[in-house]
Amino acid sequence: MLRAKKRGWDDILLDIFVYSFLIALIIVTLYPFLNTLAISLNEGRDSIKGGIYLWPREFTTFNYESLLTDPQIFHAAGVSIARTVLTTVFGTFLTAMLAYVISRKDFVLRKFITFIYVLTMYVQGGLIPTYFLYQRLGLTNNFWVYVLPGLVAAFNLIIVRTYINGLPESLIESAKIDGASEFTIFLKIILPLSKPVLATIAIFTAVYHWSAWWDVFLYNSSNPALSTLQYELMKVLASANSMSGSMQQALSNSAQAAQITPRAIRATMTIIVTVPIAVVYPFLQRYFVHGLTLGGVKE
Amino acid sequence: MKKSGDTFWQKLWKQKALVLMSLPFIIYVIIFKYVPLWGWLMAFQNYWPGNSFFNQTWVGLENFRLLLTDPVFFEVLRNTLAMSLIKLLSGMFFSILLALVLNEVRFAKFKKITQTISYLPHFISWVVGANLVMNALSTDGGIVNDVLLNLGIIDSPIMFMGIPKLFWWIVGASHVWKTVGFGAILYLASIVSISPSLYEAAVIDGASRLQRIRYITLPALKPVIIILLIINVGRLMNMGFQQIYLLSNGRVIEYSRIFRIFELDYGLKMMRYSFATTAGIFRSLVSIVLVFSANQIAKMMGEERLI
Amino acid sequence: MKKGLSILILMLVLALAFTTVTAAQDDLKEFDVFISVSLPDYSGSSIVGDIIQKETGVKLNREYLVGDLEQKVGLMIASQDYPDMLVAAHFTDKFVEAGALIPLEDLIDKHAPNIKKYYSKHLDALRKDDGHIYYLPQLAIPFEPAERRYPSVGFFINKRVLEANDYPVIKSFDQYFELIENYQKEHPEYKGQKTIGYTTLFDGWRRFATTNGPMHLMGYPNEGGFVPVKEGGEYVVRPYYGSNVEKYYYKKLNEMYNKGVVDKEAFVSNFDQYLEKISSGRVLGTINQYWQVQQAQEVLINEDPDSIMVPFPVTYDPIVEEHVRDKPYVQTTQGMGITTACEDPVAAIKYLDYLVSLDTQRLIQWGIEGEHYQVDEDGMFYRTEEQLKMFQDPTWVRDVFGRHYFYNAFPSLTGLGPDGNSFMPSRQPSAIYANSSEAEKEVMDAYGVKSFTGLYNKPFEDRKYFPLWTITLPTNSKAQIESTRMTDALVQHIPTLVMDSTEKFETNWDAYTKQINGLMDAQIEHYQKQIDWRMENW
Repeated sequence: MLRAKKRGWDDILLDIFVYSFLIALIIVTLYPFLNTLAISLNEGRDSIKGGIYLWPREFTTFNYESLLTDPQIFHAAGVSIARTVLTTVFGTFLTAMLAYVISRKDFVLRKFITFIYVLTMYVQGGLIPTYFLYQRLGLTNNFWVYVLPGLVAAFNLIIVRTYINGLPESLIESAKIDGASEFTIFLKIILPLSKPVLATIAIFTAVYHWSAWWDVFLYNSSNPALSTLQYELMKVLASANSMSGSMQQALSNSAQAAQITPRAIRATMTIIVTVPIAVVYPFLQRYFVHGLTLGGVKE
Repeated sequence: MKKSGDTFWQKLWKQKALVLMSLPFIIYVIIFKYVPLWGWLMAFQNYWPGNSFFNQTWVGLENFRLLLTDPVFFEVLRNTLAMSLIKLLSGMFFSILLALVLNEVRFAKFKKITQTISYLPHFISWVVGANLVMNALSTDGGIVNDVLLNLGIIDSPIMFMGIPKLFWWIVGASHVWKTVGFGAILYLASIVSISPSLYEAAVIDGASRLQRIRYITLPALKPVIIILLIINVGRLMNMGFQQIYLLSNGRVIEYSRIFRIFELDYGLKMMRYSFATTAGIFRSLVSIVLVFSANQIAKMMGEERLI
Repeated sequence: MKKGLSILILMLVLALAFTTVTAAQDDLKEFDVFISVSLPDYSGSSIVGDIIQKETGVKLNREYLVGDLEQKVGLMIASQDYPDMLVAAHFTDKFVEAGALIPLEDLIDKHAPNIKKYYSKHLDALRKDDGHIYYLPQLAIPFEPAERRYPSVGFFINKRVLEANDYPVIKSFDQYFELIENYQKEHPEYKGQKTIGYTTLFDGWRRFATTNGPMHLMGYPNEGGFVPVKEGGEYVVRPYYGSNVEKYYYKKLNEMYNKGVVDKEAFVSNFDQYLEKISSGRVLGTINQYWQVQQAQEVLINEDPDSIMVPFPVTYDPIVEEHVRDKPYVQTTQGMGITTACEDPVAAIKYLDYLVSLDTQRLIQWGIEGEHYQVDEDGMFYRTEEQLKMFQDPTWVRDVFGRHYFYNAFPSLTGLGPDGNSFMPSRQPSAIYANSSEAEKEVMDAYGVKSFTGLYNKPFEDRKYFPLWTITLPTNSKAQIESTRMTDALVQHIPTLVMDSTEKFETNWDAYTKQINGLMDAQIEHYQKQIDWRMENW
């Protein structure tokens, strides 16, 4: 790409800073992950003793088996994928559309809409009223409770709007002169130009929905068919918590400590949930690591 | 608005395409976000879920009085705002720094890998994260003390987790660790959209790399930085409690007790829904004041603003 | 683009498919049950479960707890969306308050001979103020209670310390610390790591391990935050927080902390770190309820049997007559109830009644004769090596055998049966000593006991209210808020009491007592009222 013709001392210093910063960062961010990986591959009861760093001491795949052998888990993973893909695709598209509308400086409802959306970041109705609402809307015990309430998030909306604001207005003007409708302008001009920011909010949305278990617990917990991957994993974690080191365990008085320990399960869950996202990420990454093919629009 | 001389309704008619595009969104947000706000009325009751909403005892402003006169009220307010501010500023600073630094990396592979690794901690739950932090800072074989001892900086291990004043900074640092990579994504997206021609022109003008960062990259990031600042200033009261709850201990409690934990302990955990609602309303009010002040300041400075 | 679209449509179809619920085809009677313990979903089949389902024709759709119980309870009550049966731990009474549970006494009378028989001792204690019974607790004790290998609470001491001192009988707190201090001086290191004289658990809600100390030093079992003291034939609720014994306890810990006996990091560590330290074998002493150290103890039994932890009923003064062992009791403030949503309460109570029959309890807890246990010529049950091994795998017991799905939180029986066999196999009298590890036996032999509870006096004989902690404080009451404030005060002051220099102890103590003194009146009043009520009605 770009390269200064000769490297000055400041250039070299900058490089030293850049690479030492990144290497330090890699160490502090990679170590915890590797440590978690090691614990997930270590025998649970042995992990209680501590002292596991980068390598398992008593290797086992038991933790993974105990989480993944449940046939329910694949169905739940399907639900997770469905909700993640649906919300990410529709959510991103709809957010972009509304963001375009409120980026139009001449639009009379611009301030009003921005205001009512921004406010939602700071006011919440609370658990019980929200539950009543979803119940009336028929969203309890329903797959769509995963998708509908979070479709357009104010934060994402503002981020995209800020980005679109930075695009040259002349593009819209000239399209208008060509007789393009508002929707066409959005679809044909704004959407392609906003790829980097849309990739960003797509990641935010996908990560959120992929790891959500909260709404399953509150609204759909009585219907196993609507369980998500993360919720199934939370079940195992909760039961590991109650099987070891709890009063319940003392009452059942099993002769041996449970092989499934909360610490091992937590570590294993972290890995299971992270890996798919970490695999998908590089595909979105190209939108903001390599330069933009449509570059040269921001002046 | 009056520029073209049209009335509001005439303009609205002219922009019917935009209105049509936005109407479903208006209905949507009202239903999903504003309808449940009737629940705020609970703050003026002694709500007990066993009775219907209209069959509750009304207590007026009693819950607000209880909240505002609580002996720890100001302590939790101070801790909340202080820690949130530390987290907000340090989190943003390092995310921006990371985005800038990544942009200076010439090897695409290295850049990609570093970025992917840097955001891994986002997926590590605080339960796991807090364990890692506490083990690293332990006096009993913790890596931080080991390194300091070996370098001869200290002669006996320091009990970091037991020093009240240090708690805020431990929270800040662990927050940076967990969010720096994920936070940088936003800034990277903005950096990418900067036209290469700007850099090319700068190179021809003989600008150094630092100068290019200073005069091209940073100004391009300014709108998103300001918007995020405004949004997050409004969120100061809503700081997540899990991290602090898990890192905290009795020794540092005077510096670690925050509003959300207080609200939870004296509200939901005791099934005092009305008190919980009151605390929630209080947080909302503070947030609104903060966010609109920040927005106003941005407006006065002629910067990008939220609304 | 086309391809993307078709994928999207496929996803939509899939999503819609998820919204339709597949109906069950078998003609079993189904009940929805909410259970406030956490277990993975029941697979639908297990050794125990298949027999029960065949005999009763009932299938349960269980929902186990995953998130916060108080939120679940609040939503269920507010929306009045109830399953057929439920148990909600210490929030079960909230459902009674909300009118969600139906009275059981008539149903029991007409349709539940087993419940009537085996719960008869507890029925009075289960009656609410209105005279009705709304739920059935687990673990009723229909006959005699059974012994356990470990007492529920104690001051634990490392076996190596006992061995070095020829297994002394430890009675007082001073003696306990003297042994620890001396041993630590002679053995400052263990396996290359520093010896920790004494550690204590103060992490989150588990901190009662530490704060209950004075109560046990006074010779009481776990009563909760207050102790009912017998004065002139009456039980008077007294605080131990702020008492002289508590002062003595923390003063001792403070002194020992400054001498380096008490773990420097004890008050800033979490549960994982606590377990880690104990299972390393280098901790010489700690106070706790056994179930909180059990995981570490099991590591020690397997890997470092010389360092297992042995419990003692230590008191502040050797003349105190200790009754630290629990009197066997039933958790009367929580249990399984039938809701107003249940269409066939008779079938529901019949099902619960079936569960608490002697045969079913034997099946759930022991298994099938010949397969999971043997019977000797005296009619006593025992397990062979192989059978023992099966039951030592908790995952097998849960998933294949299926005990947890009909036992945890369901009405059940414990103690000794009419034939002298324990309902709970691990408490079978002949098994307690016989199935102990070599190291455990060594200690028991040295003290001439057959279980560690043998190191303790008999529990209090009377005290039918026992224990105080099962009394719940009403929502929004002054007592409830006092109790939360009290917890906050303990969290804030106790670490300082122990960790500050010894000169500052008196000042710190004054600050602490000043803060807690005003926080007990409403609590004491409520507990006193309830204790009096229990003494009168139970």
